[in-house]
Amino acid sequence: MKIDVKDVTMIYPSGKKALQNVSFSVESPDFVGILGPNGAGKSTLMKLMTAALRETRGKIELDGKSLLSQESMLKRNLGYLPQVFGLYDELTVWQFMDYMSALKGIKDKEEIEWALEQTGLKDKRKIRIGNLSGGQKQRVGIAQAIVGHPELMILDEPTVGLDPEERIRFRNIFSEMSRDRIVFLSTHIVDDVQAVCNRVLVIYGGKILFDGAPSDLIDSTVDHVGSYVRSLDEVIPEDCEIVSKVNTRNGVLTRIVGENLPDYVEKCEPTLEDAYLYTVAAHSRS
Amino acid sequence: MNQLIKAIRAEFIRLMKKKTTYILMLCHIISIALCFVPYLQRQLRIFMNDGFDVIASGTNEYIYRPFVIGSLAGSILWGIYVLASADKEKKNNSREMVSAFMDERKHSFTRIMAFLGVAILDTVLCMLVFLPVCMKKMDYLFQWKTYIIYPLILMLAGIVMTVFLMEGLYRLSENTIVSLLVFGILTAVQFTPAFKNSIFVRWNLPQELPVSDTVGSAGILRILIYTRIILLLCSICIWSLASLFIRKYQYGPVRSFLVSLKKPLRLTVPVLCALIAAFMVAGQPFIDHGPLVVEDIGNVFETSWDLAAECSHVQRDYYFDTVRGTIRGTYKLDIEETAKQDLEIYHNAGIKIKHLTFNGEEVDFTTHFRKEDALKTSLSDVYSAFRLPEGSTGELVCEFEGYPTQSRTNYKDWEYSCANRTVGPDYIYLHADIVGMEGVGNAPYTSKTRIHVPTSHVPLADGFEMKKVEDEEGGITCWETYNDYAIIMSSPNEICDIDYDKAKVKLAYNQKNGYAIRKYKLDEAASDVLRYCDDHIGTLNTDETNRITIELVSSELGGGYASDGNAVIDESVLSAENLSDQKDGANGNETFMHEIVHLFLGDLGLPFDDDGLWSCEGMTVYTTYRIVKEKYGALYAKKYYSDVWEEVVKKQNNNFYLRNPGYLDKLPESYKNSILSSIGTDNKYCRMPLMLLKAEQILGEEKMDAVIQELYARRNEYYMNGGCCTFEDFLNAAGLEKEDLEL
Repeated sequence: MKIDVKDVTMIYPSGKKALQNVSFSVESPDFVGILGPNGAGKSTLMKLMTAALRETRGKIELDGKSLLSQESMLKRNLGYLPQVFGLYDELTVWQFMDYMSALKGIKDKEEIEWALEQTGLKDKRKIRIGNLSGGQKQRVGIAQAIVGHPELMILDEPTVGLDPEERIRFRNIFSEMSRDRIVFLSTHIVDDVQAVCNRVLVIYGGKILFDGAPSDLIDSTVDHVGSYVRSLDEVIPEDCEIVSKVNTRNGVLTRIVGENLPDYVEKCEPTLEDAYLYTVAAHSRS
Repeated sequence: MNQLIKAIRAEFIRLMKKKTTYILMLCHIISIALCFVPYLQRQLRIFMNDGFDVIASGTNEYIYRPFVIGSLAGSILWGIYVLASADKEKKNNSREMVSAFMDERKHSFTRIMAFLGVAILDTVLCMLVFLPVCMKKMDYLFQWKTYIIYPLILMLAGIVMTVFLMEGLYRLSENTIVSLLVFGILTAVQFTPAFKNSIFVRWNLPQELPVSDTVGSAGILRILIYTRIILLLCSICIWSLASLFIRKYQYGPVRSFLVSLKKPLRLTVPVLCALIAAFMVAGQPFIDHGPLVVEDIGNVFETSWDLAAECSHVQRDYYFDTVRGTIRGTYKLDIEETAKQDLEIYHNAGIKIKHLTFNGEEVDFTTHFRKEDALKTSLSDVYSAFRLPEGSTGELVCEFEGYPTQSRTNYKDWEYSCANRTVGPDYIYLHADIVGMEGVGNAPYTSKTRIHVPTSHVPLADGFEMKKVEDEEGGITCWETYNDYAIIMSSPNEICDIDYDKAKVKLAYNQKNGYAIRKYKLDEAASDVLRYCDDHIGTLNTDETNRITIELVSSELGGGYASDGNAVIDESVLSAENLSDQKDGANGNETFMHEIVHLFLGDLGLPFDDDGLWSCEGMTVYTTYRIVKEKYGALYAKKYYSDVWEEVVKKQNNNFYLRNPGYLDKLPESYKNSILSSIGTDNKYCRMPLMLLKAEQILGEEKMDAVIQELYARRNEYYMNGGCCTFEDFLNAAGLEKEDLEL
């Protein structure tokens, strides 16, 4: 499976420009992490790829054909978890999975069993969804997205509300699944992207600021990340962004990113988080 | 397809897991149950019959009306249910997830199919709950076929329409309030004067049409099924059209519609449904397509052939397609053309002349609605005009076929009725004018009419047995009559002789009523009444051969009538409900007596003005009391009649609204009418008989009988003057003042 996003611009009827001339191409297998601040256009991009929205300009192709003409093929091969979703509280976990499987045209009940096992819901199968906790509901959402081993998985902040242990388990599952399919993972948790994605898209203000391997993004930030100890009332250098602050006996140990770091700042090894912040901050300033 | 079926199944299971589904079913059952509460039953009967408390068949009372109410209540409940379900899906954000995997149009369809599955369950559940009640109430007249078909075409169809409509409205507007508002308007429109008589508009509250307990009501069923199909097509059309407006790509309704139109085949379903529905409305065979004429329709039975030619013999043959309800046949007339002008044959607008030949040669003719004669037009009458060679003599053969219609004017002013024409497997009822059994021209002629009906039938012409000619192929038997102007009633009838010295009396009834006839010894009851009335009131009018036939006919007729020698009684007098109705008598036997007394008072005998306190009904109740008193003794008559009257009158005298009529005027019209109707019923069945009993106590039984005899003897005088026997006539004959009889 191959997805080509070609020069896509999306303007909502309200006039809000959500995406501007976005282009990239993804071919199976690939695990693409999408990073960006709130309102950057991540969800819009995902909705466009699920054909829930239609681009204002440009086009999206699925295996070389227009996505809209391939809509039924897309629906058959899609695993989708929206950022905000609702479940049917009156159904048990199993009934809900059976319902979603029916909508997706999945015949094999083993698929449901597998999805429940992967999401740790096997022992909750007979419990009504209305009686589940928020985290458990999130897991049901993930289960419905992975059931049937879809060729294309689009996950919009799937690990929200999960504890760290679960989060790590799920990102590993997604990683495992991405071996023979395309997975898009939109998240605010940069560590997750760094841990499992072999490609990252950084979106800001409707534009793609970076498209490449996480290591490339990190490499682009070498010499732009540093740390130093400052007093509480001391301002950070101009054109720099704080990545982290730790209070110590000597002052505040501050990690910053910036285009030109002052000499008193000790340069350090960049992480993906540093690189993401640096990229966004640099664009924001420009 | 497999995915669709699985999705429908999954959606169905989802609905069945919802508590609201069961609450809906419970509310639905309760709404139907209310129709069985005696007080509400009567109120609904009045409401459904334009303010009249009519005698209804058991089928009307226990199946038709409850399931019509079930249709309205079900429609409202299901409307809310469908909307709430769609709205919830939108508000809890499950729609986005679902629509990623299944096209929203397809998903809407799966929802509808799942709703329909639950609706079928709901209907079956309602039917099962009320089955024992109906079986008990209808007793020997209960029929499975009837019990299954009416809930389906009345209630289930109404719910199905609602599901399509509401799903469509919601998809169109994406707004619960707007959808509910439109639903409310479409429901309310059925109550407006312009549409309340239109069976084509009454979608979730079908009209209450009189249906039979015994003979299947084929005519009513046909129009009900036909109109329900049209309305179903309309609702499917609305949904399929609205589904094209389902929001795509977060566009507005118009842009989404334009996107949907990129696949023009999507218009197939709505266009096809609209076309079929329009075609069915335009081609409906039930009501004529002639001009509307606002006219007195009191003379609907007057018609004749104005054939301006000398006719010496007429032979008519009628064949029936009892499934389709059509008539096919031929007239053969031996005629001599003397008029030197166009000749005209009048016939029902639904009957089409296929061929017209004179001495074997085709004759050209044209068919027109009669516009110049309002009375004829109100009869659904058309005329076919043709011209024969001047002075020619020979055989005119007219071949015709068609489905007899009701006049558009009559339909508009009243409602659909097939009272004067029904062709069905169990029942054929045709007035002479429908099939051209009227007279031909003005010259004397001989006639022979043959009807070819199912072998199980025993046909009657004006109540009298026809002559069996022969059995034909295909389970058909040919019968013959030499009467013109006859009303044909053919059904699996039984005919029994009634013991009466003065005339040869026969009682004809449907086989299914045989049980009641035997159980309640109704033939004996009829005999007792005839003898009593003959002794105490006078001799009944018979035909020229001194015969009387008492004929029980389908409730579709909506009442009874009589001509010399033939009394036609609505079969509903034999319903379990009526036979146990103590207003008419203490038991079934006496109820039937009451109906036979009507032959003397009102139908064949003394005419009454059914107005206020003076009515045929009251005189009949009093006379039945006298018969019962003679037969079972004074104590019995007092216990079951006069004591009951006194009790009711006592209650009536304390009635708040009767004592304070000013308050009655301030009530809403429908409530006021209901109270007046109740008071009127008590007046007829209790107050007037009690007044007559008081008169009897003043005058003595003999003098009372003499007064009634005197009035009865003057019956022809009343008829000739077009009047009725009034309260004043009675008071004058009895020498009493109004005040003497005050209670």
